[in-house]
Amino acid sequence: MSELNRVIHEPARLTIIALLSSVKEADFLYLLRETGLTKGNLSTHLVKLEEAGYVEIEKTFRGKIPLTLVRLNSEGKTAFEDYRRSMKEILTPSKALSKVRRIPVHIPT
Amino acid sequence: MSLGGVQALFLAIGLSIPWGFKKLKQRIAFPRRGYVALSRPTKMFRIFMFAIFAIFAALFRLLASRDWSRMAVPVTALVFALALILLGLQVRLPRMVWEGLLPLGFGALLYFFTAVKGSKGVVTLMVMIGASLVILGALQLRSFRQANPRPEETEA
Repeated sequence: MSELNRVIHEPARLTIIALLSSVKEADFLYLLRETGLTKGNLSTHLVKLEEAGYVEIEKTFRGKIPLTLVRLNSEGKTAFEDYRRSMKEILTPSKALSKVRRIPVHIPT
Repeated sequence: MSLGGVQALFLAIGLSIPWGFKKLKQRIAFPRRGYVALSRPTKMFRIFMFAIFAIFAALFRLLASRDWSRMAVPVTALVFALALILLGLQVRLPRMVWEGLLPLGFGALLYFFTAVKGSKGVVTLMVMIGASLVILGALQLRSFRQANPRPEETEA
């Protein structure tokens, strides 16, 4: 588990990143509807992802309506790919076993 | 209307379809479901599409050179079916993949059960495909609008 990216591993952020990884860009409303998060929750997670340098947030207008565009940048794509690889390794029984064997176990005496 | 006029009309309709889709998305889909831009197709997918079209172009030429009058309707039906299926895969719309079966059905209907052939058959087929897609599209649009009422506030 130590190899997993904690920023991405959080379920809500994982959903956002997974959604963004399959599209070029999406707006706040689309993410809101697809993730099922509340506005506040989504905003908080987007800010965390932006702070981690994984997403780019562009605030603009479509006519008079404010529009928040979100896209996964190259750093985010790489981080997500690494996360997927780590998860795959952990979830593959043979690989997971070899990882567990490498963990030193301290038995209190 | 002459055949040239019909072709020009189809060309104009064909060219205005992307513009119409864009306007529909902006006015109806994006305010309700949010805006999303799909990623560009992968290199492998583009190569796959190109290979399919290349094979099909060769087939089209082979069939057209043999007996255009007889083969015009089935070949055109196949072209439209393929175009719809590939477009459906590209924009990830399973509905469009199923709609790709419509031209095949209409093509088979005209080919086996009517005496309409050649360019007249192609025009008939295109009218049938166009009309059915417009009806299906209108029904889809209606159910989409019912399922997704326009929110008063679209942003946080």
